[in-house]
Amino acid sequence: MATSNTSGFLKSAMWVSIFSFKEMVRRRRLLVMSLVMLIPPLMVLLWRFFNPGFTATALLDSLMSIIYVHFMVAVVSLAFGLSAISEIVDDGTVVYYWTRPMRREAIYMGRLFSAQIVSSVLLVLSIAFCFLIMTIGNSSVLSMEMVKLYVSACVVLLVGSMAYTAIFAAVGTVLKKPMLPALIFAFWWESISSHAPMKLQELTVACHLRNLLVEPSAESSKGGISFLEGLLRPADPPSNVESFLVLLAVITSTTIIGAVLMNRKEIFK
Amino acid sequence: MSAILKTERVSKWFGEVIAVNDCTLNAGPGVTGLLGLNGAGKTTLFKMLAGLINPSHGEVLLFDRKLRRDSEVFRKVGFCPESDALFDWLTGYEFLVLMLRLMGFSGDELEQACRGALATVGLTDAADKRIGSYSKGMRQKIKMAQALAHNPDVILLDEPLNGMDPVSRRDIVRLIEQLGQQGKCVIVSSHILPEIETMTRSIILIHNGKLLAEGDVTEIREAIDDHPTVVAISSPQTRKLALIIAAKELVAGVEVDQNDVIIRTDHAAAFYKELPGWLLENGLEVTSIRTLDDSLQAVFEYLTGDHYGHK
Repeated sequence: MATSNTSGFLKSAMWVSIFSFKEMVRRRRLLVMSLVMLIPPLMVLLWRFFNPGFTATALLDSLMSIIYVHFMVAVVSLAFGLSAISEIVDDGTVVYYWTRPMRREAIYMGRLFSAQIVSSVLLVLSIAFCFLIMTIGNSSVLSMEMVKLYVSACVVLLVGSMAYTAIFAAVGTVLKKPMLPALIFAFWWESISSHAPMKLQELTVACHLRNLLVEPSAESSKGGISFLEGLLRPADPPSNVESFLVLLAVITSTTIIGAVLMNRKEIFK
Repeated sequence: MSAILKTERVSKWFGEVIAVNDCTLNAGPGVTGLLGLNGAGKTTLFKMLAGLINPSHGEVLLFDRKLRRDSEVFRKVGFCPESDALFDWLTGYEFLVLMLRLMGFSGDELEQACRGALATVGLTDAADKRIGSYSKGMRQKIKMAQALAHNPDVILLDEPLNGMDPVSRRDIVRLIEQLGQQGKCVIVSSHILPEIETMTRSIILIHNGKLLAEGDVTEIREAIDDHPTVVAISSPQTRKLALIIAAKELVAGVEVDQNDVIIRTDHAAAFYKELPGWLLENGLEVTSIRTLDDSLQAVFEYLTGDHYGHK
């Protein structure tokens, strides 16, 4: 009985997810976010043309620490996570899910999962473009350290988009007007972490994401931007495992909270 | 009447405002009209029946199962919302496929149910067009189709005739009547009384959040003591008929209006029982007898008017 319930739940969540994915990729939001995601590859392109004197590893490290972790992950996750539930509630189409024989948690999980997939794919594609622009016809920049940094960047972007999207989806489920609180969280709370004592920094997602990034050697990270990036890196950080577990806990807890809130939600439209 | 859909002392309040107050009702097979003025609590009650909002107090039971705790019960429920929101980028067919998949349908069963529902509402030809290109009437029909596609036992239709042209309106009214005749429990919410009247005589009337009346319109009319029933008898002998009828104790008042004698009685059932005898005894010729105020409109006005009067 429990197995059939679980398989029914997963099947429902899967159909909701497949449909939601198709729905999300049709929205104009995807086009806007795709354009935003082109900013880092354009920066890399400028680096290729003007060669300002810092290494590819330093550039990738700085892009990740400054642009992606502090801006891109939050922006794209906010765009898709916040609307995952609030959009169907606002436009009234949620009734077609609500009046089907499936648990409301399955609706939540399905919508959240597609939002996470869309935002992760955008972020990973963006960093992949950066990597390609850095390395195509410039094989000298390819090193084991560079590859390690790139792989760790992809992992950070995946985990980061999962975490932020889960947070924003829960916020969008509980609040009627979630945009302002979400913006405050993403661009005030998450950014003050860079200037706060370590214990306070540990309360932010960005701190743990930065912490997961492979730190390049001093030699390979030479350059102007690495100075700024150095300021953003925690001085006395928790271990990588601790950060990973914290982020996993954030994803799990916000998903559970969101699903519970969804179950209690009432549809007035 | 065996109740399929029940509410047990259901109340809903928003802050200090009571939208629905202690409402107990039963709906069985057949078509039932849910009526109420704007702000009466009709929409709130309907949303509770559809499981969209939870009662603050009491329970909504479908086949004796609690709606808010048991999503499986939705296999037996079809809901057509009032809201015009639809997935405009899908075709009518794709929309029904999605809805049926979420109902657990697959394969041939899904295809059959999908095509059947499209045919039922007359949208077969428009099945492959995007919903965004549908007219208002077609959008109503596709909403009806998704509510009927899985062959539910309980069908909740919130203002189903909104925006429909007269021909579509007639077809949908017929369809609703058929569903009632098939033994489905169909609850139709509307604020347009003649619409409901064409579908059913069974109503639930809600006013100021309270259940004001439930049952057959004629029976409800007879139970309203404050307003005498008005009967019109057409006859070529109006004066003689009026004189004879006016002398009867059951009659509260008589007027002559061209070929009609308008009679007011506080005891409609007894009046109708005695009337044939009076006509035969006096050799009175009658061409028609009709009750003027057992229409839904009249019942509605009497009940809501009474309600205001007692304030």
